[in-house]
Amino acid sequence: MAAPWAELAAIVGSDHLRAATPADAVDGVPAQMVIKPASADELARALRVANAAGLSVIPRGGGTKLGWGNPPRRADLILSTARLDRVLEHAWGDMTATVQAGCTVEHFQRILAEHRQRLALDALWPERATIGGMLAANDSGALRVRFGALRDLIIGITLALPDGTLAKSGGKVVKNVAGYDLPKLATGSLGTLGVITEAVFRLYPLPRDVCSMSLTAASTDTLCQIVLAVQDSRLAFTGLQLRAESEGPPQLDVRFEGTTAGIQAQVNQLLQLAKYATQVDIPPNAPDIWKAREALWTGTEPALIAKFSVLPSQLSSFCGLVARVAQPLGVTWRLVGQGFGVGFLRLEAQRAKRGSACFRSRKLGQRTRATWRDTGRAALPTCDESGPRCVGLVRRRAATDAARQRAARPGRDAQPRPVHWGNLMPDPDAPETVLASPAPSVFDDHNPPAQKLIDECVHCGFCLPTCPTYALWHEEMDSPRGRIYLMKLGSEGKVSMTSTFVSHFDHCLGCMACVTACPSGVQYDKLIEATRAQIERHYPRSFGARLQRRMIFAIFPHPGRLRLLLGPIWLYQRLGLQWLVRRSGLLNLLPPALRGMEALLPSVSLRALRARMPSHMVAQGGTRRRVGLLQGCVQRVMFPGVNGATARVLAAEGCEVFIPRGQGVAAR
Amino acid sequence: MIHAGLEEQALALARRLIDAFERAEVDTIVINAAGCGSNVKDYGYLLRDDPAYAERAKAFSAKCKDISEVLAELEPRAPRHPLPLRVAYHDACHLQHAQRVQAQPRKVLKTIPQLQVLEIPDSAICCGSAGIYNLIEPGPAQELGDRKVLNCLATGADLVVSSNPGCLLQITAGLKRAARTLPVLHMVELLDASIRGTPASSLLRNGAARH
Repeated sequence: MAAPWAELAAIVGSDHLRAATPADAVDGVPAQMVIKPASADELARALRVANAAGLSVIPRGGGTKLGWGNPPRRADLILSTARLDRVLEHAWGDMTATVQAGCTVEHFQRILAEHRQRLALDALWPERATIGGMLAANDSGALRVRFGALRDLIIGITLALPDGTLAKSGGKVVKNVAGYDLPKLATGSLGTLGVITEAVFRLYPLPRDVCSMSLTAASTDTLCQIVLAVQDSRLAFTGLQLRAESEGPPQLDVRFEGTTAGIQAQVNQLLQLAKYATQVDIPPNAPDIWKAREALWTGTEPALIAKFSVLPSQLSSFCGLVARVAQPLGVTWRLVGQGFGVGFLRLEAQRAKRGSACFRSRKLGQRTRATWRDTGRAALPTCDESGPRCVGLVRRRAATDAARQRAARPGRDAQPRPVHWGNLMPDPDAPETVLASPAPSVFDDHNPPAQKLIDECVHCGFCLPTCPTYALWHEEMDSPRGRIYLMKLGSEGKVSMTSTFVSHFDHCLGCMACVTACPSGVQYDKLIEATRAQIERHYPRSFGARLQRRMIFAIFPHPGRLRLLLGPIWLYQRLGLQWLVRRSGLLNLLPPALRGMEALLPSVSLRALRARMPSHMVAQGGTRRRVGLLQGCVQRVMFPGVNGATARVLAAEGCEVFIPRGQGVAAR
Repeated sequence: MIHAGLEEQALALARRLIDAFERAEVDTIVINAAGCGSNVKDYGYLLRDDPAYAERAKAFSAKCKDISEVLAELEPRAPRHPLPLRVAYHDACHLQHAQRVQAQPRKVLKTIPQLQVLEIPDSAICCGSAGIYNLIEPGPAQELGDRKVLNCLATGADLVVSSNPGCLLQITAGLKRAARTLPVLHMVELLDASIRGTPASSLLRNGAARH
């Protein structure tokens, strides 16, 4: 069939179809023509024409990773995405962004940074690499240890298929679970399934502060031990990178992100774990150490660069094997591995010996059960070999996908519906009149939850796994993020103070685990405190709830009254009444709140009834400090031994202890 | 009360406490209940709008420290007797999250010879006590308590220690539901026993009797 150049020129305009130069060669295979479509539609049409003419098509973004995978047999047409370089939408409120395939990673990040967000991924050569190329080659760096690989960050994709179809999958919603996951399938497909034209990503906030540290040790073994210790610890690192080479000591880089105080606490913990390191630096060129991967591709000698993937626990033995195999062959090597076991290795040798090093490296792979991918010459399927079969599969899937969604919701588009907030939000399909005029806030002016604090939450969801109520019910509204959103809706007057609204705040334990987990430093403690005070003022609780709360606050903050109860409780337990009540089912007649209180009763001893604390204790062996002891209201009655023990221990450690009379309580 | 949104009553109690401790003229105010500690450390913020108390509350809060913070700062002086026990340390939320006190109690426990401190899985998640939460929301509180108890038991410890009366009550109640009589003690009780030379066996016996 005659080459369809004229037809292609008609699609993109003759300015954007040119003859290839030697610089366009792919892995040494010369190309014929280069085409630069301006839109996804032009690209799809060009692809259909090229496919019909039997051309071998090589999609190209920045061309930085074209050498990965097999060299092509032919390269008739280079399909450049250079003109598809726009960020189509940055929905910063939803933390998602839609971007065209030809946009460079750096440009994309710059746009996202305007709202202090980012694609949480450190790609190779971000200034040249494009989104499409990064996806097709499944590139990811050190951030993967915290935020996952590309397949965890992509939520939607548009692919141009060889027959000219533009297949869309996924959407712009972070929690989109409908249908087959084409975005994940296309990640790392090396252009074999189609040409990526657009992608939607979930985003993360830019950290307030970053701190990188480099640890040096005599052997990789020591560093690998630290790698395992760090991963077993509770440190929330965002980078854990091992750098080793045939000459010079190995290094381990660790990165922390978050608030200054949070980072400092983590650095201190790391220093304890890293006590076997010979040297710990805060490198002045911190951003550069995270680009160490890129340096593997620079060098004057011919080299083989391979991607490896081992279990984190095998990282140490892997480094050892590389060193043992390379040394007798006179091969120099360098590797950069991430803490989770994925990395790149550069083997540099004289041309004559290269083959044997390569052979040995494959053996090495078998011995460590490492997955090897020789990025120079791997046996991966190329587009012209297995393309049509794969493409057929994808198309079938995409079609079923859409059909299923239509069947599930007749009369609606195949678009996922937005998240609903129970019965709190007006139905989005209802007429607009509901929100015609701005409604007044449900909070009054005396310390409402501050708008500024509410806005600091960027809905990233880091708080979810640590929230006890979210762990129990997996309900968005019973998570810190959801509650902050409810506060926002409340202050905008978009919801009213209904029992549903109040229940989500009542469910919060106030444990503040979310405050520890939050990377943006949101002061949830201040927010929930303010909201609860507002609820108490404005929400009429039921008679039972009011009575119970009144009872709790009439008893617990007053140790004298609490102590008065101990006598009856002692009798209740000792006379066998508790046993009787529990066995007889009488307990089930009580309201659940009282049943809860009954279940918590500790065994009361008469000693507790008599317990009194002295008002002063002398330090033993000379006074080191004058301390006052605050006796908690529940502590002093329920656990009198604890206050006694505290005073004794303090005195034994050289503290003069005062226990002032007339203490109220902490009033928690 | 602050938790529950009863602002005025809470402020009155706060002022009374500040008065009482100003009279005692001490350098440090020691708290052995995590919930109280996180709250008194917040008095500076709580009373920020009260001209008579704003400054005094700030000074008061600055002096407040958890017992483990004070002990971790002081070089151990009193000799400790060995306690050959395996203890699971439970982080109280109001200590680990509200006050960011995590390393100190562990450091203090490690001064006891032969004592093995074990970490509880999912330690960042609350035991369900949370102030008066287990009284007004007993359902979820009990469910969280049961989860916590399973995690405590998974460590294979001889006893559980914590630094908050609420947690102690909650975990004891959970152990009772699981029909286990693991002793639950305050961290300082263990240290007191080690300084006084109480044998491990009687510690276990007395602890179990609380159930």
